[in-house]
Amino acid sequence: MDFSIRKILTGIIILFILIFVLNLFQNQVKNTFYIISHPVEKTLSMAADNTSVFFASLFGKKELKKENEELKIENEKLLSMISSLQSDERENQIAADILGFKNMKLVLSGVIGLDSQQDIISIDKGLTSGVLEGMAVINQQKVLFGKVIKVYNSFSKVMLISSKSSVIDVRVQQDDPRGTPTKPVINGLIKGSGGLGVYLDLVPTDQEIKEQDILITSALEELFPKDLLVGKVTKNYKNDQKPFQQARVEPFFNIKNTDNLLVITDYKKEK
Amino acid sequence: MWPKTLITMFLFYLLAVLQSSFFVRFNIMGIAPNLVFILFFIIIFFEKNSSYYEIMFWSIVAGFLLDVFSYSYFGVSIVLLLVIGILLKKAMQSLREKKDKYPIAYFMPLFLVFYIFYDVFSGLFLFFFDPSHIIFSFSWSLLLRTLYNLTVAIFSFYIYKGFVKFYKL
Repeated sequence: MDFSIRKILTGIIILFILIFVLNLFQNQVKNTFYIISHPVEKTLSMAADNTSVFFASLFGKKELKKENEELKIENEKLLSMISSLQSDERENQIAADILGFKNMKLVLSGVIGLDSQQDIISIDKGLTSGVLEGMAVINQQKVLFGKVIKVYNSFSKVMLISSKSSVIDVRVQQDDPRGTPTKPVINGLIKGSGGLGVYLDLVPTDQEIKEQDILITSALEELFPKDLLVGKVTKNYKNDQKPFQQARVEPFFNIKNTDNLLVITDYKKEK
Repeated sequence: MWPKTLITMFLFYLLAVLQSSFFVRFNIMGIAPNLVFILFFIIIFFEKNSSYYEIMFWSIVAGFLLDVFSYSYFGVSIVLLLVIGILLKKAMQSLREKKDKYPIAYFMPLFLVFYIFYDVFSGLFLFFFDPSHIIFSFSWSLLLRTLYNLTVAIFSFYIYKGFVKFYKL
């Protein structure tokens, strides 16, 4: 009996020493492992892309047709917005700023993995590329994905806005294509619900939010630049007896079809 | 013995990379299967004579791979898998005779219980034992994750069974 207790104790001590050493060199161990696994992960991601394209074309013909029609309508709307913007030189400058990411320093990075339990992704840029904790991560369309929460030498962990620990300030987009405010300012919080989902919270009940309202970052906390796209309101839950209302939101970010992301390493804060 | 161990270790690594890269593109509502956990569970479930040292060894291998690809500290998955491995072995000892007759009937409830245990507690560790997180953990998302993983585990169960039968391992 004594012998068996001694064996168990020895096992536990060895295990804890191992865990302690691993945590002591956590950054080095994880970074080395990343460097070794990166080529394999990249190959598998490419294989997954090809496979998903194959299955999408095989099973999703109907959906593709529908999506195509929706995109055509959206495209027409955008074309009309562009033509309206082109009529004014000042607004043309705004459009150029938006599309050209002026006032922002960016680092292009590849997505290499997803921890689906915590809604955390890995990107292939780290300290050596100038990435730091807290930086915002977006795509080419200025859609906010999340923020960097851990940086290693050659890669980083990004907490998606859908992570249960994520809370960001947003406001309802109120400008028309010409930049004129058409609605009152409505602020709220986007909270992650896990499983790549988000919801809008803490919007005062007296404010009116509607389905299809676009949510953008408000930069009240100055963690993220202003006007990054977050999501679209799909259903409003309003109860007059409660001081705040909530809404279901469809996030704009889509991890399935994303290969590259941009880390905002610096940006000019607007007042 | 060693070739089998090395192949299994390589398989663990391959599955860890697969679940963090390949299955990102095939997630269902943001959920990807935890293939490393499933393989660990199947190994302990099928190995009739596994010693506590073997359980500890596979907990370290599988736990290390789960921790290295996640945001958590090293040790979270290692300790949880060790606890699950020991509890599973204890449960199997008491179910020994019946289990051999109807293995899938015992596999499914045991997998459900231990998967939920792992999912909830690995989340708790990540939030530094924040008690509010335990309530937050029991959500639709957890139910979906559990069902998705159970489905993959049942497939893996039959594949493993067929594989063992074919190669007479």
